[in-house]
Amino acid sequence: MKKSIVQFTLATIGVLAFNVANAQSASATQSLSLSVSPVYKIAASGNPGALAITTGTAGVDALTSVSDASTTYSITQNFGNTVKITANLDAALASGYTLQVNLASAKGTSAGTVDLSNATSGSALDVVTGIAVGADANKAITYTFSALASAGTLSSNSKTVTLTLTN
Amino acid sequence: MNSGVMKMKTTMMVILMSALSVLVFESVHAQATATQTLTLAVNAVYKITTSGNPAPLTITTGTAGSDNLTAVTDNSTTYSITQNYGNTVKITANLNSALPAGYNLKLALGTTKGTSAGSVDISNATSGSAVSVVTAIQRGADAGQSITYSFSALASAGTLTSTAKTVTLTLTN
Repeated sequence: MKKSIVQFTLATIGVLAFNVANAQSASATQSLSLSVSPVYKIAASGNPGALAITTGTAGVDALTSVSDASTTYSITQNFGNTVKITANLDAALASGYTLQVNLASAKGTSAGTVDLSNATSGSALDVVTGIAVGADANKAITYTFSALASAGTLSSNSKTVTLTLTN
Repeated sequence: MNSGVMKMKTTMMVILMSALSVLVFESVHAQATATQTLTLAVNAVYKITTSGNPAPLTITTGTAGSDNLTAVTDNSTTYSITQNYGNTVKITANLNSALPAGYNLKLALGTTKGTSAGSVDISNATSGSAVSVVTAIQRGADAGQSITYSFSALASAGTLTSTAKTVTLTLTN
């Protein structure tokens, strides 16, 4: 009789323990697919002021150059550490006129002052190389425009400079 | 007919009526009863399901000069729960493995029976470190509540090829 009671009690405890152990929680799962595509973004703060050469030095063919550092560029890229910025004009300058550009960089290596006068879409020049992944904001763009007196005057002439972030 | 016979008939009538009364009384009070002892129990019930899997979360763009790429979200799926345990039940969430540094996955669960923790970062929440996303859930059912994922990344973290992650939602006390 006592043995039966003990067995029954143990069985009851076993059932209770089973219920408690299996009634603690329930789960549901979802499968997610995550990815980040290559992102290349570059923007300029605006257009520089007019670059007008107005003076020179008597006896020197090279007129006094003018420069503009009023604009900046910003980039974001996640592709790799071999990304660069190239620059080109929509059309080459006439002979005797020179346009140079210098891009500062904290994420890459600036090529310093680069002559863009003959760089068109098919012959863009590197201005910043070895850019690391991430963002680089508000870096200086400096243009320098120079001319030879022997090239004559140049009436107001619009040029488009294209900065390209590429790998 | 003499008076003796009349008296006898009257007596017999009284006896007959009395017998009928006893029979009627017994038929009214002749119920039988049986009893049964029932053992009733409702165990603790925890149920949670989702409506399916969200669409791929792919970051494709950003803003020049900002390391934070443009985050993407998905709220195309829902969850439903039923529990009868108590009013302290909660839902936790975790990934099968943590995301690499520079990538961030947040999760927000809608609720009408509990308190949503809002948008919770589950980037580093694994099975041993699940985080609460809904707390103080009342007993009963809560169906078709929203699940919102937000995936963000830093450009400096680089690209991420399509990576499958499993999110586990656990209803627990």
